[in-house]
Amino acid sequence: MSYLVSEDSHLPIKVDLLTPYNIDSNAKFLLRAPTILLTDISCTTGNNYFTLYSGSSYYIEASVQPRNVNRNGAMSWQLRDATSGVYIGADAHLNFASSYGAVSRIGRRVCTALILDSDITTSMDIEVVRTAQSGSSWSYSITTNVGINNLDWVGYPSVRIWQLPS
Amino acid sequence: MTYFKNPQVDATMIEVTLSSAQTASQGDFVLFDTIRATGSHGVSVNSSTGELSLDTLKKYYIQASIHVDRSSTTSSWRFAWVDSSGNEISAADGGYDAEWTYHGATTTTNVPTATFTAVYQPNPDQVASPIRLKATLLNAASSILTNTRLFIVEAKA
Repeated sequence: MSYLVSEDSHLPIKVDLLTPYNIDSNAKFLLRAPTILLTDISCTTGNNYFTLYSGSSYYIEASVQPRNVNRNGAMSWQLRDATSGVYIGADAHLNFASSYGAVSRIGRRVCTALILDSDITTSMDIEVVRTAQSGSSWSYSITTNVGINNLDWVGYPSVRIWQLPS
Repeated sequence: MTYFKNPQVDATMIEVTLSSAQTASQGDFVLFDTIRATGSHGVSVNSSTGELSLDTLKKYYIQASIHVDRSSTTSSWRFAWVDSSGNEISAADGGYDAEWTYHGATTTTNVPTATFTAVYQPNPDQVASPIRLKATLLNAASSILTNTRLFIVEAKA
């Protein structure tokens, strides 16, 4: 008898997607969690943070998606370790001031951070926080299944979490 | 008879950054100098040449997030991966460029969508090393910000 072995390897990385639906009075994203989390984080819909636990490392990306009706402002966002009270990783910057594109800083509108297992004592609460804003008439309200401010062509903000167990 | 195996392979997540902003022009390479990782890995950087050395026996997904302060507010930028000979790595070989194109408010057609990220994801047996991230279009004396960074997933082949 002959045997055929079919091998399909996989990585130990687990991924979750949280969907912000607005900001709170402290300019932090309010998060909506999926029905079933695939990673070992915890997140309750309506909270402005999610929790990481030791025993794994995490790579986090938070895409920002506001609306600036008057096209006259700029803003920055960054991930924050609420457990230690420090901002972490690379911030995201948007600028709608002046005519389209006539601003100096142009870059990816995504906050990123690699959080190592050694960075986490037991657990770490992570927030997505607006750190600066100028201009007027900003909106962050997401219409479910449509998009920001009921506009259906601009997409959604999201928080992506990659977990690699140690 | 067929046996199915679904083995888990070791993986490492790696972050490569700049410790300070870099003044750069078209043709310059991004000079990364700092590495953080979840474990052991085969990646190294040369902060003088911009070379990113990879372990050619492993698999890679490399994503560069680009952040630039332009010296001219009407200029565009583009970054792409190049091999050790200085040749741009094509999409067929796993190289994808990042670009942002300036246009005035009245221009609404024939403008590429900004990508902001340059990805290198080679076939497992065709990993090029070293590689460099090159500013193929950038106004003179612009600034590559410290937010510019690489996220790498390295796995055993």
